[in-house]
Amino acid sequence: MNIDEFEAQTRDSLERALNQLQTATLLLAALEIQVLESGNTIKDLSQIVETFIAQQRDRDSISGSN
Amino acid sequence: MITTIEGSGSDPIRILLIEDNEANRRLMSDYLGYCGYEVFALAEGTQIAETLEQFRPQIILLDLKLPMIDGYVLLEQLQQRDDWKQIPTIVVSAYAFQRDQQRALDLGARRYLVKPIRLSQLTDVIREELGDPPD
Repeated sequence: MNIDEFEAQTRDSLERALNQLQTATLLLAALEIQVLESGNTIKDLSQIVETFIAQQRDRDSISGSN
Repeated sequence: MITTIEGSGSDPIRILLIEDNEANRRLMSDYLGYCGYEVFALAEGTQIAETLEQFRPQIILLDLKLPMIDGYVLLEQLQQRDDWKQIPTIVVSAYAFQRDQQRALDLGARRYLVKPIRLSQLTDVIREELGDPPD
């Protein structure tokens, strides 16, 4: 193998490895987005549930006092 | 940390992404779309002239190792017209040799980023090139 062939082969191998690392980085970012979006959905749900429970308690206390 | 571009009521910034790796192209498009950019992605550069005319990107993200026409030739083509020359081109490449970086910059690339890049780094660079430096 001469130096040009060595360079070409090394360059190709490095290029493949760095592209794979880029894919991994992008997948992690996509996962982060999914986790954040799921978190936001759960936070929204939590607020809805809390509001519902408060309304039910208010209603129960009003009907209990009558 | 994910930064999203707040809608200002104006059209989103248009980004042309030229990347042959399918997974990277799709994931990067999705991420930039999530950040509020409008992305048009090409797997190779043979359609670049038509895309520039129709999509009118405000920034170009360019891989160097591409089928048919490589990124260096595309950089040369971008220098052939004054309106194309004005579009900031950011090379995002897995070619890590200094020689590649120098060649791309000599051919008109504004920035040279070696993969793997963090996406927050990419959006920071995009904002800097568009004159909207990150906070």
